[in-house]
Amino acid sequence: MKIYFDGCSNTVGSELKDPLNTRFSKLVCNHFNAEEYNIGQVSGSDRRMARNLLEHDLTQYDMFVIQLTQKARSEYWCERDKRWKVLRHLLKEKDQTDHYKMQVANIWKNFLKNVYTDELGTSNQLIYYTLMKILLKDRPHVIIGIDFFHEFFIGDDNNISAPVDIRYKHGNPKRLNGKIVRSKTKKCIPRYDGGHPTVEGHRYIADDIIEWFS
Amino acid sequence: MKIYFDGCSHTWGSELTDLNSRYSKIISNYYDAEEYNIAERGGSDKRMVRNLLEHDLTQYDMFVIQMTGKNRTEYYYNGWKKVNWNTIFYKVDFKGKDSVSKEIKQTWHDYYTLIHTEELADSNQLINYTVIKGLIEHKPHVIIGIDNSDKLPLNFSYNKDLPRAKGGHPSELGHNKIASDIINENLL
Repeated sequence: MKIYFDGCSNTVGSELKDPLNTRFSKLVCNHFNAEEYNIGQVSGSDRRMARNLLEHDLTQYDMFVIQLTQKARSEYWCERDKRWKVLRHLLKEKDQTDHYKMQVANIWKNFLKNVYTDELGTSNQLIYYTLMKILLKDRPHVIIGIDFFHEFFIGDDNNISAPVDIRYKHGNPKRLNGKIVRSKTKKCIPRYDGGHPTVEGHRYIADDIIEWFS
Repeated sequence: MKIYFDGCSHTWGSELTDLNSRYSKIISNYYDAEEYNIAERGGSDKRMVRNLLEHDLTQYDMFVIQMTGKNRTEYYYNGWKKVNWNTIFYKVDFKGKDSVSKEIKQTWHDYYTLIHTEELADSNQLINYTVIKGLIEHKPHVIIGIDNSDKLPLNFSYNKDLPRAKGGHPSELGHNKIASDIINENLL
């Protein structure tokens, strides 16, 4: 059995000390005794996830878990390097001497500032979500969404708007005697300072996915 | 009976002297159906996908979608606006001459100059086509292309063989040909 996972840094396991063993994809695969195929990418976009599904032979996987992300994100085809890349409006210091990357980053920053609106992001996310549902309609799958707080231009409008199967919102989970009270109406996961799920948060997400498929 | 049509200027009927001679009207007359044509000049594939998502598809008996140039798109600024780009000209739908409009136009210009590529356009087209196909697959439908890439498995793809008016849109004869091709599919 092989399970397909795609998403952003949340699915990669960012901020975890031992991501390969404690991220939700690994926990789900351990439960089902399945091979983990995790192609999540830090700063990955919904568009990338949609394209990935179109580029894969879906018959090779038994289950699919797709984690939608910030809807203002996107990607571009880099002619120079001949590969798809994340559209970033901020670059790491080491990339700031790369004139081409700086040009792309500046254009994307202006796009987010001048062109991007919540209506556009919501419409795009619904299109990608619909594509995923169409491609996976005859296969066991779950589409989850994790709200995030990063994006200095956009704020709360960057939250998940597509009708995902399971959505994790901002905020701290309610606890009773230290244990998380699992809510069906508002799911919140414990997060690290950078906003990614903690080890406990990944366990929470994994348990939801296992329950979904069981 | 009601037939849903969407597309760009070709489906809208540009360059025809009478919109009653556009192919959507000919097909609707043939089936004695109500013509629901929401095509727009400068319309994009993305707009067609959004339109399908915003409509109650159970209200229509047949769908005809005419995919268009893959370098077109849309954005939202006090309503949905069209963006049309090719190697010769570009057109960003904005009415004002204020600084906001200029910034939007400049941003689209820069976007198409450096970020937009053939690969991105092809990928967008495949995404849009797959969504369109998936949304209407259980209803009688045809997806056609006029002046667009042949990479997609369209029902009909018209290129130079279609009779055209001076501006490149199907002539009356061209609309007749499109209508008869679709009618000959015997979808209803």
